Amino acid sequence: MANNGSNFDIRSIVDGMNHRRLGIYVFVTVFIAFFLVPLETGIMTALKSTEAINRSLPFLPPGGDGFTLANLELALEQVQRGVINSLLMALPATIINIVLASMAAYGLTLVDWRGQIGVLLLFVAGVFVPYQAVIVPLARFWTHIFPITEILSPLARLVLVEPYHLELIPLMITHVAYGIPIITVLFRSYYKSMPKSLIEAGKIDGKSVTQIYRDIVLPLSKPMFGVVFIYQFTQIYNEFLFSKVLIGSASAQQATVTLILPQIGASTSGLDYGLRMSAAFLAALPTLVLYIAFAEQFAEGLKTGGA
Amino acid sequence: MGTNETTGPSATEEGVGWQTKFRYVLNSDFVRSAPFWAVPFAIMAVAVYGGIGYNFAISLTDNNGTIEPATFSNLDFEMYFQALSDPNVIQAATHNLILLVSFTAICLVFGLFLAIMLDRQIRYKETVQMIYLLPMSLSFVVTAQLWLWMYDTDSGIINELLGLLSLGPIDFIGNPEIALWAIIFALIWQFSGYTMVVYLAGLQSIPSSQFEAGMIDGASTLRIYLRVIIPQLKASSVSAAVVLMVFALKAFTFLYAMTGRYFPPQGTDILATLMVREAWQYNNWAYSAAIATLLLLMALGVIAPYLYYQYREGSL
Amino acid sequence: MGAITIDSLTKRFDDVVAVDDVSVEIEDGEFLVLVGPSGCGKTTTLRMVAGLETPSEGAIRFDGELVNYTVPQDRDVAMVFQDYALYPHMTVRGNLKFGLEEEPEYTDAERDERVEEVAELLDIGNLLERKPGELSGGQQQRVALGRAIVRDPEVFLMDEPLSNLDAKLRAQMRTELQQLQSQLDVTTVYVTHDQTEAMTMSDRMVVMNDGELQQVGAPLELYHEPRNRFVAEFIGEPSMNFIDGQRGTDGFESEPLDYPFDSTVESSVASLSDGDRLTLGIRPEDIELYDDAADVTEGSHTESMTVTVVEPMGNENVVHLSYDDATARGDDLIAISDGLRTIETGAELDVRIPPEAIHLFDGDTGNALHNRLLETDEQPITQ
Repeated sequence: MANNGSNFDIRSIVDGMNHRRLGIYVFVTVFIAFFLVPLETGIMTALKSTEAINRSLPFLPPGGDGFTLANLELALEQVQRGVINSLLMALPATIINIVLASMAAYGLTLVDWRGQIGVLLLFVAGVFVPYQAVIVPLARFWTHIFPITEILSPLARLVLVEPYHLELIPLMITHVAYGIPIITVLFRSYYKSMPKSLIEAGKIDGKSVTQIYRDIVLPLSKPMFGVVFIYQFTQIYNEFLFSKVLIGSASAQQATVTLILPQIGASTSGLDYGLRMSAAFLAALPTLVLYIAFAEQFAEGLKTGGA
Repeated sequence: MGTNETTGPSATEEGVGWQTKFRYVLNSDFVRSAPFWAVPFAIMAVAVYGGIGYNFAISLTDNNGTIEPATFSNLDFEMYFQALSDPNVIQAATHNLILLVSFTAICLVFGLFLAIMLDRQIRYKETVQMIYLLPMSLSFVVTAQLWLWMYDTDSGIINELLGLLSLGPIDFIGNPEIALWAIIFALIWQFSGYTMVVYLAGLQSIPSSQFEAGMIDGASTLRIYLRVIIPQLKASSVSAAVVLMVFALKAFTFLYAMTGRYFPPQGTDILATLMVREAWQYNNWAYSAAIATLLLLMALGVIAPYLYYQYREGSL
Repeated sequence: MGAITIDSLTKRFDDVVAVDDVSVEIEDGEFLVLVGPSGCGKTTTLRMVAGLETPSEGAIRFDGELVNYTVPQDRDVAMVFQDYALYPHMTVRGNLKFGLEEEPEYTDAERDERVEEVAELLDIGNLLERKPGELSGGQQQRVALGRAIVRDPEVFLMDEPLSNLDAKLRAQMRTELQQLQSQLDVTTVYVTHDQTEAMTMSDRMVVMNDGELQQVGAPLELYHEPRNRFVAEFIGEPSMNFIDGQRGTDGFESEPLDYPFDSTVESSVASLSDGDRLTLGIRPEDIELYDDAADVTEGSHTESMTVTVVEPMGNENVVHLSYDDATARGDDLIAISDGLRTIETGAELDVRIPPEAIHLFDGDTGNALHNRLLETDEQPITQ
């Protein structure tokens, strides 16, 4: 504090504080605008007619006859199946992923054995491997080595199961497999903070490794399950590269929402931003809602896990 | 056991049959915990490390054309020589490097600034943090659309604002000279919230008594941050930097979604986009696999020192 | 049914030897306390008995049966952890019952009954439906104890169970634990760094330092007949006074103090030659303080000293003394005097070190050469 010199002038201290605080609040507000403007502009544009888009400033709300829901309706028509496909794929993938990862983290953290660190190192390194390094084999794996869609094709006769649903299974398993490292690391950092004596007390109480997991570790990791679910669901739902590689075309019936979005509103005459922004907003809606409801858990996941 | 034991002080191992030891091993934590970690480990290892190995094998072949079972004959490093002398690869790698250095550096500084600002007792801190982090919850596909619109030459907000100052319009995405920087700016918008969260966690682990001690010593706020607080954020910086750098190497989605084609805006091609294009546009499987391996090596150059650092600190 | 034999037990963590060749016989029903400074290997020893660590060498036997290759689940031991390790998501009842579920001889109703019974015994019957987070430290401690007792194990293992309690509660629990243990008559191995706990609670205590066993014995045996300087110093509060010096022609010689030996002492150090290094030890309560040398019956073991600090404890005063000879750099002495006696800082006192109360240690090895005389003992304990 610049003003708290030797003469203890209360007034100047208070003034100094106020200026400082005022400065901080100005910055805070400016950055709120910085982070929100692209999003706000997008939403406003989604609600405008093409004419209004060309006429008005992008971030201003639509006025009078410039307001229309036509773009949103049209976008919903095109994006709908992608959103459903993505949810169908991301929900089970996330759940299987976090259950497996929690088990792995338990086996690698709370139970002690020699050589653990080596196995662990492979998990941590796996977090950072660029997916580009595996996508060529991945495509071959699901088409030639293990064509699971064909193997499971009899399932398509079940009620509510369409043949294209099965096409989502390779994508789902892929997400599970490549999601394991990061979620294991997240769970491990949580389990490391759990007192070891709880596990030891379980042993002394005569419980097996499995019972300790079921009766002690699982109930105590409920908050962490929330954190990793929010985190990983967002990641899988938002992911694009695997969809591109395993599904390919935006016109495919099983196309995920991230695959469809970059094609919407594009024509030879240029981009229809009203439609594109509407679609972007609708595509982002599930994770946006999840984020607004559970921002704290999302931040928690990012903090320990990385982007 | 028991009955045939001798009671001398050295009677440690005698009298214990291999059955006992075997049963002990079966009961040991290692064996009992194996089902827990071995299944996820196997899935992960096949996917990640099996994939890397297979990719490397493909990169040694000359496979191209339609996806079909690879034929592993004539294995050599030809694709790597070809890649290293390909001007497109060199250019993409340069872009990668620019992205890596500038994106990481700016994100770290900006994120630290945001974190320090929020670390001061401000009102509605949680809401502000939530807004700053909001872009991280969006898909790159979505944010690419948002920025495409922001940068639009005719009626995008940035050019509208520049117009008020009688500047522009500037074709941010279409001009190869500045497209990369425009994209770096957009990515910073998306990622600085993440860096902020990492730094905030680091700041909160520093006891406030250190700050108070600095105040009593008469140091200015700036000085306390520079000399006392920021040096303690080393671990946060390292982990955030690794995440950002690895992202800068593999960023594909944002660039793809800008155009909706395998060709990103001119002047922004990086190894990740080049690799996917070589594979899925031109079906040069072996060549793209070689580029992917080069990309992996670059990522390894970042993460290997990091893992070693973590291992040495005992914080794995 | 609960005798434990610890035989040449050694535990190494990488290069560090945490426990070094420790052997102890623990009788059935005995209350044995492992005591020593932090890092001395006492907890590691306990954890090896529990089965939570695997010995590098040596054997642990329960009733003669080798248990090295038995997992903790099958050892029939119960343990009280330093942080209590109560399962935070279970009620007190759940915590108590959790271990019982693995005892096949009980029906579910019997388990409930047993939980109630133990809760009554520990006076926590009214807390059964609460979660550990809602309990005070003392209550959590009781639940942790209850969880151990409820299973009626062969052996109780306790790892600094009282160290998280405040001083008053600790003293109270000390007594209660002792009563419980003698009532249940279950072999108990108890680890603490607090020598007062060890002295007051144990049937026998084991003093450890640097992974090595220093001495095993009843508390008063260790207090009066320490085998070496470490034990002498570790046990007793305030600590025994030590003066470093050497063997002189007719006794102990050091800069601040020349101390002639009488015949009993002389015989214990007969094997030493002049100039061998010696340490003289004297417990604070054995030092006699006189206002006037005239009161002293025997003058030869008296020195004049200055009072530097007086710490009044109420029942007694802890008196810090310094040799008033300005050139003396020797150890100060700490003495204890009656609480009702007024001693002023700066006063000069005649200080007598009674020959029957002194200990002598080898200056190099620290081994005891001579311990104090006890009325019951006719012969001095020598090594």
